[in-house]
Amino acid sequence: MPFPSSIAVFAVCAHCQSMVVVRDASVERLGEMAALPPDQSPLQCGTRGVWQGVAFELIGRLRVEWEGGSWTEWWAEFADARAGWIAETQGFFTVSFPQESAKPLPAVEDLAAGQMVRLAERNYTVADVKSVNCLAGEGALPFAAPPGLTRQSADCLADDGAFATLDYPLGDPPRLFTGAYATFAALQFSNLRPVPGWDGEVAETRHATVALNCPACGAAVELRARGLTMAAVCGSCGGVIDTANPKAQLIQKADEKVRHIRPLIEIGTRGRLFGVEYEMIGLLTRFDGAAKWSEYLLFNPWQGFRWLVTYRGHWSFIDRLLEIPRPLAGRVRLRDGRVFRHFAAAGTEVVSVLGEFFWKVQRGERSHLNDFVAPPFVLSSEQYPGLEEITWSLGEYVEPAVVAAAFGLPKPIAPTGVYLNQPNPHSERWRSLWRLACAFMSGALLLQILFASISNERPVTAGHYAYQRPVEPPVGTPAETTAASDAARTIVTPVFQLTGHSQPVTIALRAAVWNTWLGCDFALVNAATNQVFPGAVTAEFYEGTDDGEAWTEGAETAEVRIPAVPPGRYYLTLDTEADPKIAAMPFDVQVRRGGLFMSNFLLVLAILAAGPAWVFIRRQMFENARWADSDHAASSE
Amino acid sequence: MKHPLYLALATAACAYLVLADARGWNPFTMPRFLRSGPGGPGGSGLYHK
Repeated sequence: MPFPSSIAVFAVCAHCQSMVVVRDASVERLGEMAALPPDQSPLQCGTRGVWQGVAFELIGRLRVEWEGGSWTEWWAEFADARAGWIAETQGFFTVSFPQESAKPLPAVEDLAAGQMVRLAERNYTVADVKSVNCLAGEGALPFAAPPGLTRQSADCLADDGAFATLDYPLGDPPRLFTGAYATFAALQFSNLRPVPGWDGEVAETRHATVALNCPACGAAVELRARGLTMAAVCGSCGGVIDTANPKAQLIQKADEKVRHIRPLIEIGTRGRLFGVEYEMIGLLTRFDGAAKWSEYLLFNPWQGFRWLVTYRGHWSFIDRLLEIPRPLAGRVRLRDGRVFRHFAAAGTEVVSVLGEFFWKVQRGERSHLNDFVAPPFVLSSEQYPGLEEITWSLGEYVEPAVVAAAFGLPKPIAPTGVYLNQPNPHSERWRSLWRLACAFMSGALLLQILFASISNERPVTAGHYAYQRPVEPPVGTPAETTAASDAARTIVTPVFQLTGHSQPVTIALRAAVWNTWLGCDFALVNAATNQVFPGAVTAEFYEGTDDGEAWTEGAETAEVRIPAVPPGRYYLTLDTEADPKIAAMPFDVQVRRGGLFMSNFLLVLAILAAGPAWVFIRRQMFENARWADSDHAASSE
Repeated sequence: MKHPLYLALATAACAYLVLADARGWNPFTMPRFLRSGPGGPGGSGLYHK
């Protein structure tokens, strides 16, 4: 057997599964490697790729497991003479390289999920701490990895997306690996393995599944993401089976209620969402004490796992988040700048399960959930009691019709209520309408300024007159005599000319009133047509003190403006009245032409603002309905 | 085109502003009381600001 790599010290023969290790200059056989469990991974030894511009080839792999699941570590040789690990789990990847540390690495006992730790001059947050066990391997590896080899491991994330693993092999000093998360597309893989049931090259085995027998009832249980899922639920008896172990032991007893579960999307149904084909492989229902919702697990061999979460007809498409959001006051922020506001925290419990899952799920499994929203997105952190791990996921609201079309559902259930990350249908309308209204209001303001600059008010005529209180007629004076006396008191001004086009006319009255009043009933009369514009104007001024505080009211001048008076020759008739305290008082009357009515401008502003105001109110009502279900019901966006 | 109804209404409102400012109209002091022949004092108070 030729040794597959010059930098490897351990290799597994592809033909006889013998494990050989290089010790000094000799090669020693360690025994036979356990068979790798079948899986749906498209990667294989010999797969090539490119990472950050450097080509690499996968030369060996290790299948490792921990208490809650398992994943694959691929060892890769890079074109720049480096060798590193590419971990493949739940459809995402990490690329990491051995890193020397000038300072001693922390002891595993000192680490806990969520804790800050400084490694290789960079701050990280511990994502999980777990004990891992080597299941099987193939190809070439940098250390002897017989099945059963156990070590402690801690995964850490930095704010900028950097990734680090602290590895604690038994009997050896800890090792540090640093790198970053990567997607399948970013690694530019080639020479991939056809995936049975999915790949075009093996189309005849499309929808192929592997079945095992339920240890409780003997019924066949199909596995749709073999090698990646850790638990499967028997659709016949409801028993939960450990699929990570070839013995397929029962990890939770049967539950007859599984027969009554009626998923909206049947297990095994495939649908295309956001351009990727997914197969529905599992369904679990959670309850948080107030609400119950369903989570559909989707699988694609190249993209990994996704979730479709549904509640009261609303749907969200959820993906694992490959960073730890930065906490702010009541909010969290992602690296791309998106800020999410805290919505609710709740303890949840799994009440029913069906299908298969990438962790050893059980009914009754509890977790603590925190939701943050920035509609249409939702960010959730999940923490399991006794597990040193915080999982973040990022979801986006999906219209029910999109889900129905993707998975061929008969008729989508009409959503009820407002969901936490449901986009506000009035927000976009509000934004575009408000922009439009601002443009029109600016235009109206410019028009008003323009007309104000060319419609200056200018004096036409003015007169100085005197009020004289009339003597009361003796009792029994005939009515005709009284009327004639009133007419004689009416003042008629000289005729004056109003020029230009139709414009407002202002009648201004000024009298030296003090705690009294003087008023004029007037008529502006067109001398040629006898068209009359009647009105009244009163000058009144009062002042005094109230509880030691001085006050004033009114003014010595008063004016009224008559709209749209056509040009022509006019005169004014004035009939004056005054406070009974006044016996005589001089007063001035001025006639001015031109000017604008501000009320026209205000009316137009009100009309322009009415539409956006209505949409704004509806938008706020929608937000109030959204936040009514949150831990912050008193506030709204 | 977004918001065609609003566009029409806003255009009409701005057109009204142009006409009202140019002609000196004001809807809040309408209707005018027209009388034939010079009349006596007949102030209605409608013209008060």
